[in-house]
Amino acid sequence: MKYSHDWEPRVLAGARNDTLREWQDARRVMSRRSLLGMGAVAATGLLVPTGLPSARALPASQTDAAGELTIDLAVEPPTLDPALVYEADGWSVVHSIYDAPVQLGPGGALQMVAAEAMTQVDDLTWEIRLRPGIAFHNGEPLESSSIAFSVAHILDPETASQVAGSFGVIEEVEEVDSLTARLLLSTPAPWLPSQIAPWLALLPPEYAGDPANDFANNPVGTGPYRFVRWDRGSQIVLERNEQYQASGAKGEPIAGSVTVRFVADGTTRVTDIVSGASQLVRSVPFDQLQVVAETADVIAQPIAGCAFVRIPTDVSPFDNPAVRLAMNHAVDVEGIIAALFGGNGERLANVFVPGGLGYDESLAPHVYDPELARQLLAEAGFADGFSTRLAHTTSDRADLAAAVAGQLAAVGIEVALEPVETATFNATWKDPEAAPLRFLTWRPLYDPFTLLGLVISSSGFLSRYSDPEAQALIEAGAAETDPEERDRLYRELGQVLHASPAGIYLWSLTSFYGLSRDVQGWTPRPDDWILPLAAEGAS
Amino acid sequence: MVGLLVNRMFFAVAVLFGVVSVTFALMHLAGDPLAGLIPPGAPPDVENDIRRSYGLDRPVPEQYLDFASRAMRGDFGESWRQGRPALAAVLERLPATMALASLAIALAILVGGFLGVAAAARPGSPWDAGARLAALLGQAIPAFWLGTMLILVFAVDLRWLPASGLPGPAGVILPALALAAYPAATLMRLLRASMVETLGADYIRTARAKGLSRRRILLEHALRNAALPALAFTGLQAGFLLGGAVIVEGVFAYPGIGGLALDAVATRDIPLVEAFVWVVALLILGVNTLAGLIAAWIDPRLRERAAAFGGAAP
Repeated sequence: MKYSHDWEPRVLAGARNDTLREWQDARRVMSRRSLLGMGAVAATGLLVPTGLPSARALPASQTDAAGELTIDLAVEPPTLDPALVYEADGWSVVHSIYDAPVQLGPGGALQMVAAEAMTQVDDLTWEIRLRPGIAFHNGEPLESSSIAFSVAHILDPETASQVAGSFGVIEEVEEVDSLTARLLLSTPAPWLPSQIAPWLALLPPEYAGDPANDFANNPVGTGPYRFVRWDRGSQIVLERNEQYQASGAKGEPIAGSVTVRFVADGTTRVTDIVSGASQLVRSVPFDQLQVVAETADVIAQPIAGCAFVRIPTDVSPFDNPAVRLAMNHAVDVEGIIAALFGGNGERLANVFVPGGLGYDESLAPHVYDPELARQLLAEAGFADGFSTRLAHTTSDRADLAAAVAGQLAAVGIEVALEPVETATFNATWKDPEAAPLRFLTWRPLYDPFTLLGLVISSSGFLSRYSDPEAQALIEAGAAETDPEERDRLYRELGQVLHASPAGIYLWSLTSFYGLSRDVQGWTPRPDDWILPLAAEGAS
Repeated sequence: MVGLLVNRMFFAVAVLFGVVSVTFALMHLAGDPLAGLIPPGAPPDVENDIRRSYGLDRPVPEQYLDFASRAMRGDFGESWRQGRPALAAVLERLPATMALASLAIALAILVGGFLGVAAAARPGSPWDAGARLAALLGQAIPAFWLGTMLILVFAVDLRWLPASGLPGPAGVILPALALAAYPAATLMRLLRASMVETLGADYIRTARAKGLSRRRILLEHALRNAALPALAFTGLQAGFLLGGAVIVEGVFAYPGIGGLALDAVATRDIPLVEAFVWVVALLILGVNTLAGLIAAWIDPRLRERAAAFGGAAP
């Protein structure tokens, strides 16, 4: 397996580097042109370079151990119980306080964090050996009992964790010695590390076992920062764990004290970084990148995730593969990437992403060819096109779904957009009354097991796609314990999904962060977690 | 006065019951209450377990009766996402919103009151024109835009105040200004109109004829009478302020109940939504009752009317 994808973040704007001047001059030209009456979207689309002269890595670790760092995230986690956190902002806090045994890197590679080694003994046994000498923030030693306790906590029905199902393959945790534990499985689960990395944060059995400590609100971990205070609705305060062993793949703390603030509004996050109230902000709105670039750096980080428009196969006219192919040829994905992402992201041939398991760089994406699309539609009996509906969540950028819909309209497919709140969106995946098309983004995708199992597999709880050939490969890939063979199976699946599309395949994801020029050494991550750490080998 | 209070109390209980019932109906009409809670892809037995543990497997009328009887006592159970009592989660965030709303209404009364009296004292003067223009702008500019402009000027350019609701007294100033603009403008216009009308009344002419000072006529004779509609309006503003706080708190990342409510609705955390609506309803009822009592204290006619409804006059 070779993964040549470049995970280095690109600094899109800022004055740290001479090579950026060229682009800044170009940007001034763009601004003048925008004044000459270009449309707002087109103008903002030009604010970010499509070909930066020489993208560069951030400077090597130059930590300021005593410094204070304020980070703006968008979403406040409802709890700090790691079993109940399901998105990147929550994980950003949880994994600042806790360590999991491992994390996943590009290609689904296992990177050790609190574990010294994690190996597959046989098809039904994983062995985790913890690093010696690690202590929780309260002094409790980290031992193999923590692995057993943390697994039991996820599986406990009282916890009501949404991932209890996937951890259900663990029949027993056997404590081999004080630092080694074996996970005994009921069925082969090569994908288990992709669940362990985010959710199996190691809990202190003594402390977390006592309900009086309320660990969901007063967490104690072994991670790089210890929990200080949570002002609900506002911020969480952390301080550096001086005892943290930086030998793990996560990296070492870059600040003495970290305040993580929750700022839902993108414009407010922008004013925070521009006014200096925060030094690192998540999700800079695309039309405000230039504003941030005036005073801080904008970092474009490739994320191991994909965007696509789900097409069901259980309803006419989408049951006809030619129609689904026509829809792929109808959308100018490169044009959208250039205009609405400043050229950040790659057009995808299927749901597999660069740097993830199963990505096949030799497989070319469908070409943008409206003529071919019309011809395919005519051959399928829809020469006059048809009407349909496309749902997207209100937290997605509305311009993206609108751009796709507009291009489908150009070949005769009239698409009505339906923005819905996330809870409703998630409740209507299989609802035959709901919009058949839905705009999706999915991350992380180092290991595509969850996406395939839920959204593409014909038995998936969110799926309205069915293809016997794809199904056989999905099932084989979920049980194959040899990583090389699993990658090959997924590449083969990728070709099937390319020829018999499960969606209009769009782009690989990019996150835009704002970073103060005073902050040195921070390492952005391809999984989109914002951890106040500097890592040598994160990418 | 006691009669008025008793009247108001009966009214309050009825309104609270209505609010509780409507919230229950709306949250159940808006789709499956568990939509945000059942993991995407949960097997049916997991779904049934979750449904049972939240009592959602029972018939809706039974759920309603149970809910209504608990809700009237302020017991909404645990927040589905935070796993702690919903009412406590709302009450924890309430002081921040109360501070914001109180400062906003105080600013509105001060600024709106001053501009209203000043404008009415000399109708048609440049003072009057300026105040009316300010009021027009205050009413026309949406709070979220004004908030953003205030941030740009005072936080980004001048760096006098924090851009967002940091804990600490400075964080409340900008959001309060954004929130106060609309009620201040409306108050000014109301007060100006009723002052101008009052200043034309016979008893004011009499007061002038007695040789009373202009200041005394304005503040003691005219304002006391003209203030009634403005006072009624101020009472009604409680709802507007708490509603507006949802928007303004979002713009300023202010840690009040507004952000909590938005989040609770988006994630269908029904106990939290219900606790929020209940608390806000109670607050609005409280403020309206208080405004009614103040109005009765200012205007003896209101007290007599209340007494006629069966209460004993003090």
